[in-house]
Amino acid sequence: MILCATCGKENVSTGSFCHGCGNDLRMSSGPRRVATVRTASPPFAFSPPGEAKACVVCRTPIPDGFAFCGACGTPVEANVATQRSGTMFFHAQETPRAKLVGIEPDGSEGAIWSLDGDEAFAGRSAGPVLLPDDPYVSPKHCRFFYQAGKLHVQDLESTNGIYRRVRGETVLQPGDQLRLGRQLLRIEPMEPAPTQAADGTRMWGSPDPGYRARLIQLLEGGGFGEVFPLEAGDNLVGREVGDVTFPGDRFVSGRHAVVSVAVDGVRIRDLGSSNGTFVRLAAPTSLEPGDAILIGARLLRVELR
Amino acid sequence: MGDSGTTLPLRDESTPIGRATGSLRLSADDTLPGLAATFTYREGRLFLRDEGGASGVFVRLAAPAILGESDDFSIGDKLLRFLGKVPATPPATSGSTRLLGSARSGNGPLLRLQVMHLGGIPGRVFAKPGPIRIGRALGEILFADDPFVSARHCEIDLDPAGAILRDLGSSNGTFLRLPKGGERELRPGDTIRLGRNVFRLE
Repeated sequence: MILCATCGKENVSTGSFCHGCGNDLRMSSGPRRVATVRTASPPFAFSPPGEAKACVVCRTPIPDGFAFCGACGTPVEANVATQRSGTMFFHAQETPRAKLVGIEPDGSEGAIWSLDGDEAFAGRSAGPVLLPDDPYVSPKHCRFFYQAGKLHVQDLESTNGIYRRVRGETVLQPGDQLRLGRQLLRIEPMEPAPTQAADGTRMWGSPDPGYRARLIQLLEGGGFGEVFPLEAGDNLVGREVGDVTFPGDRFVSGRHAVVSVAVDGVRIRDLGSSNGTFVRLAAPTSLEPGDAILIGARLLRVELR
Repeated sequence: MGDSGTTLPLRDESTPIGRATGSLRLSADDTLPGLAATFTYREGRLFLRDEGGASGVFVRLAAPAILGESDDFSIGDKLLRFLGKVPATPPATSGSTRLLGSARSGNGPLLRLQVMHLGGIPGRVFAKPGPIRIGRALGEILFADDPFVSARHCEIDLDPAGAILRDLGSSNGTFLRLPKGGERELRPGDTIRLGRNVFRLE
């Protein structure tokens, strides 16, 4: 097993390219890492080994739910496009339809919703993706629709939004919200320059470590909790060890994610955590097969039918 | 802290102290305003008044004190600000959609404490249920890198009267900031902190 250094995806040892993000695994510096220890929390798997597609370039089988060929790095999207333009589909003009698979807290698969129509609603009282038992789901929470041959999801001004699991490196915008373990965090930029009073004096204080951004913990029931200032460079998020720690949260992995702060922006990548790192979707977003989304406390996986 | 440095006599009825003005000049300290504080004798008693500078005037805690919201205190080379408390979790109302948030440790109120950096840059905020013990080696909030913080330094606990700040017998003391423009009486042995300078009253 090789963990991709870019996105944390687990790849078979013989692959040259990461199945999750297409990163060249042969270029990874340092020893190839083994999978991290799982937490006590229920792990959930991405796509189970399904029907294998073959890469159009090198004919290597690609398991269902992977975005890139493990042997040559060709994006699966290119594969799909090529296959659709070929003779594989009888109705070549039809958009491939998706389904949502509910993942139970123990990691097993639960309800399955087929998204056959052009649009489908999800909510506590709106169907067909009906989630009546989750108090964190709004009555009419979000809308799924097809556009340009792809499944999209749109938040309908729900209370708690929609979150997608981070695959590869994801750029964060100021105000973006994250979920990991049982934590809800918001990222904000910080003014780097120390503020000076009009007379040229500076307020006395602890030495300035040069913070550039901060993660703010948003508490259950409202209000702000802890605040974690982030320095330029990599900031490790973990349960007990790191720059941003949540010692009481056993759903956070030991080494969970890395937030990189650079002049050109803030990025987050998951380090192969058991339960994933999720970013709130701010605008209507296209979903890929294998994407995992959180609606309220419900975890759903997107699969092609 | 430790060896005595310069002795600054307080002979006059009123002695201003600061970077640029006053009979006690501390020109090397860029965290101090021109006029930082004034010592005044009244009826044989000595008072210290904050003159409103950004860095404030701190007096070493001799007895537990009540912390108000956004009160500053200092241990070692750390400046800490009490941000008040987060109330206990409100009971969930049935029917309406619940607001998602980070899980809390217990349902009781949380105390929020912020590290303030040079220049007023806001730093790490801790939110924990009381009592919060702060130290270099033992407690809920640790400053392992600060040699001027004692292993067990001070604690904050919630009391019916409010949040109480208490020194736990630290070597270098816990300093509470005077309210802006505030004044308090000093007694022999009191230690005060002005910017980077620490003075003991004799």
